[in-house]
Amino acid sequence: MRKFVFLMITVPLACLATTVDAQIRLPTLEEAQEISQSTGLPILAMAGRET
Amino acid sequence: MRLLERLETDPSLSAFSGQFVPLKLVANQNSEWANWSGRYKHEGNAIPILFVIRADGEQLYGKSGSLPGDALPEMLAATRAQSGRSLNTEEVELLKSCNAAAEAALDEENIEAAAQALSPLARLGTIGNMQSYAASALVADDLARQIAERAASLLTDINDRIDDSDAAFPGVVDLVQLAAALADFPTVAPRAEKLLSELKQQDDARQHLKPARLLVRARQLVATGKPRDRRQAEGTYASLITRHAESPAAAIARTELAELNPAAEALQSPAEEPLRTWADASGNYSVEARLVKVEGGRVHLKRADGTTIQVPIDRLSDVDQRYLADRK
Repeated sequence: MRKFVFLMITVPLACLATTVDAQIRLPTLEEAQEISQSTGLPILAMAGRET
Repeated sequence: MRLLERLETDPSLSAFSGQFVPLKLVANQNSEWANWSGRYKHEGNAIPILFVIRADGEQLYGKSGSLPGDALPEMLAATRAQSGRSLNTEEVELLKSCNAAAEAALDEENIEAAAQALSPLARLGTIGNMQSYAASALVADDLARQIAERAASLLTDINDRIDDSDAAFPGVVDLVQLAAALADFPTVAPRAEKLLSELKQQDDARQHLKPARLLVRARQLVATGKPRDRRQAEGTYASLITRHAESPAAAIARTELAELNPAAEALQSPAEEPLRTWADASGNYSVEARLVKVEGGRVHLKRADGTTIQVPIDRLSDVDQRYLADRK
């Protein structure tokens, strides 16, 4: 269990909580933009290599 | 991605929980990355690259590097401070419904209704400056700007009408109504209040102010639709009819009270005629009095002090004879 779930509580769970094997997934680009525009929250984007 | 792991587990970042929408991008040849990096620039070429994008699309940060130690919370604090306030679901719903109502009223050129439609937003912040980059807040700010612009021009028109004595009372009513609707609009409310203050200095218009305020109050009470407010509105209309019988407000109050409650006590007494100046055909004699009745070719008039006089109709001025003819 994570100590706190940064990703989970950033946005309304309904937008994020596609639970696959009890994992919380990150929003897609389109979802992130929609949530940001709706709530006014900024997007924190992390660009990295494919894992 | 170690940075992602840190964001999920580092307790020093707990203050930023819920403050950002996280997004993971894969920096390779995919079209998503191509679009993103075409729009948002970053310094450095190393991986990972961090971006912070405000809700309106404005880029606040874009650099390579995972910002070790305090650098990451410092960057998050700095960018969050530039991101405006965030909104919960209830606030977003309120904004959307107010915006829709204000847009519809603006389409109908009803500035007062548009201003009233946005007024509930005063609960969230300053109307016209919601301090949020959420789309609904930006729309509300833009609508508030449009309303303030059109209201400023409308106030000028109303002020001109008040200067015309024939249209003074409806003008004062419109001014009182518009000023009430604009109370929460900081850019234009002071102008409306200033015009109301100026009215108090004008002898002709000042007399209309109190009955106009009562009339607007009664209408506001009716508009709530609550039984208690409707009863209070009846009382306000009754007060206009009995205590401001001289004012044009009395006749309007009768009509509106009749729609509200045709059996209202205040409607049972006949309407008192307005006090007006009557003159004879020569123009040498005139008297301030109310019409009581016309009988046997004579007009019965009552002065403000209660004394009555009778004048043959054919001795009256043309204007007065026409006035009587129009009333038949």
